[in-house]
Amino acid sequence: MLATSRPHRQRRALTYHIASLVALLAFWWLLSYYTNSAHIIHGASALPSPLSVLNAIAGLSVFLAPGTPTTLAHGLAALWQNTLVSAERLLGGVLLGAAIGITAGLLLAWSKLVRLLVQGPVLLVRTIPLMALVPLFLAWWGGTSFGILAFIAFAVFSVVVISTVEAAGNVPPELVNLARTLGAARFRIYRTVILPAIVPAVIGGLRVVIGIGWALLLAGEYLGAQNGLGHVLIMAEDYLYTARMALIVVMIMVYTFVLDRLFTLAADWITRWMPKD
Amino acid sequence: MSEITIEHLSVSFTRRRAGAFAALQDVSAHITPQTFVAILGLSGSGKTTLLNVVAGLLQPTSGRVLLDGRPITGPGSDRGVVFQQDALFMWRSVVKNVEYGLEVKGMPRAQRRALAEHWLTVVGLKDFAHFFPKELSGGMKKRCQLAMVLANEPTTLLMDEPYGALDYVTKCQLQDELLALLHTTPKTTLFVTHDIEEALYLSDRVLILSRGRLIADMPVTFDSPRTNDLRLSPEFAIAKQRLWRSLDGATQQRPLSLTGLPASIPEQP
Repeated sequence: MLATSRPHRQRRALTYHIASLVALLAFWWLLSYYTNSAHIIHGASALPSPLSVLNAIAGLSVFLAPGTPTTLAHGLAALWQNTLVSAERLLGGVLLGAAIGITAGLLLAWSKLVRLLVQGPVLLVRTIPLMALVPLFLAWWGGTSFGILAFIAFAVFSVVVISTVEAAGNVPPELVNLARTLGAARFRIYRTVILPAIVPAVIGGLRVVIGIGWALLLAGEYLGAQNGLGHVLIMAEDYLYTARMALIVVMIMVYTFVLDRLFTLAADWITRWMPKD
Repeated sequence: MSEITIEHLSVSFTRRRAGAFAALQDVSAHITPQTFVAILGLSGSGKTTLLNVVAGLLQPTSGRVLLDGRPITGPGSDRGVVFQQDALFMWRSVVKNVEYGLEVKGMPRAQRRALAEHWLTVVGLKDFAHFFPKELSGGMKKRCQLAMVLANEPTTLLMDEPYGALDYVTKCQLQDELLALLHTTPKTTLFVTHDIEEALYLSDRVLILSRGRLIADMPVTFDSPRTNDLRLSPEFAIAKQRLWRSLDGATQQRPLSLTGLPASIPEQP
């Protein structure tokens, strides 16, 4: 068939995606079946089977309160509770960092002198190894939720501020001139030309940041938190609960996928005016 | 009224290595109100620089430009500029683009929407009011830019090679539309182009620039309304030839040395 309709092609692509995922799951199952007999570390299977990962949900009940009976419902509640805690840190940090970064970027881009003055320090900030800052943030805020949120916010800020300043410098000069010839003054040009013109670049910066956001969150939670997905994961390491580790990894994969879809939908709608090439 | 007086205008740009570069040298001209003047020249002849000074986007190095006797100090809504690039706010719908200048003036929402729709009807984009610029063709983008500028009711229209990137037939259509529009709402128009035919067809007067100097100033006296038949008439061809020669003469003054080149290019073995 030469020409296939768009929905038809999409449906076919989806079929292949599902088929390959099912195949991957089957492969995982088989692999875990054959390795479990041979590779046992201190009583735990090195590669937990998909079924044991599902069974690990109930085991999370201990994170609710000491003495909570181990049931699937309690396990799910614990999973949900820790997901909310982590989501709050991640999204709170991203939003706070993006808000401060965009505002600061716009202020910095206003004047050429300020831009030149901050260029050096901003380049310096980029060379900071973010992971090395985790202990410092923990020293400042202790293992509080806000410490981790602030750490993520700082990382997001350092990326967003640069992309905002760069984008503001890249706005086509003819658009600024057009506004000038239509009588617009400087502040109006900033609000009605520069600000909307940089939106796609800022969204691009945010996408990168959300990608590394999970890594930053986990790093923060490993070291300092008393709850959250990172805490559950690192606690599982103490007891070699490999199935529980795998469970948290799978959950984070699901969340990342959902978050990315939602972000893409929102971003596509916001930048629907952009020519697609 | 809008009468433009250009007095000994010079503009030079300083480049870090090459030193000063004179984009315009001692250009003087007087443009009477409601005249259509084409500024014709090859690339780099200083046409756009001249237009940008009148627009107020560029300051003269020496000399001055007067608009109705007052020196131009900056851009203003009395002079509408149609840029060479597709200068439209891509994130605004077509009608919102046309409203921009009215927004700046502080006109109430309902009034500016009505006015914007009027100008969209004039340029034939009424049905595309709620489209984004990316959904318009090249010719439609130019019509939108024109509506955007006209909604501001400028007395002077400054156009910088607006139709340069369009196909021939669309270009001819837009030229006719522009003439019809200026017939109903006359404006002093400066139209920068490198297209000899376009300059002749549209204007009452052609100024030819070459390497920053004004080298010719020719009146164009074809009757209006002008139609496509004019493009094919013998007198049009003769006028075209005269302009061509002026431009050609200008090129030959370029310090382009061909000495030292072989008389004929050797053929490949």
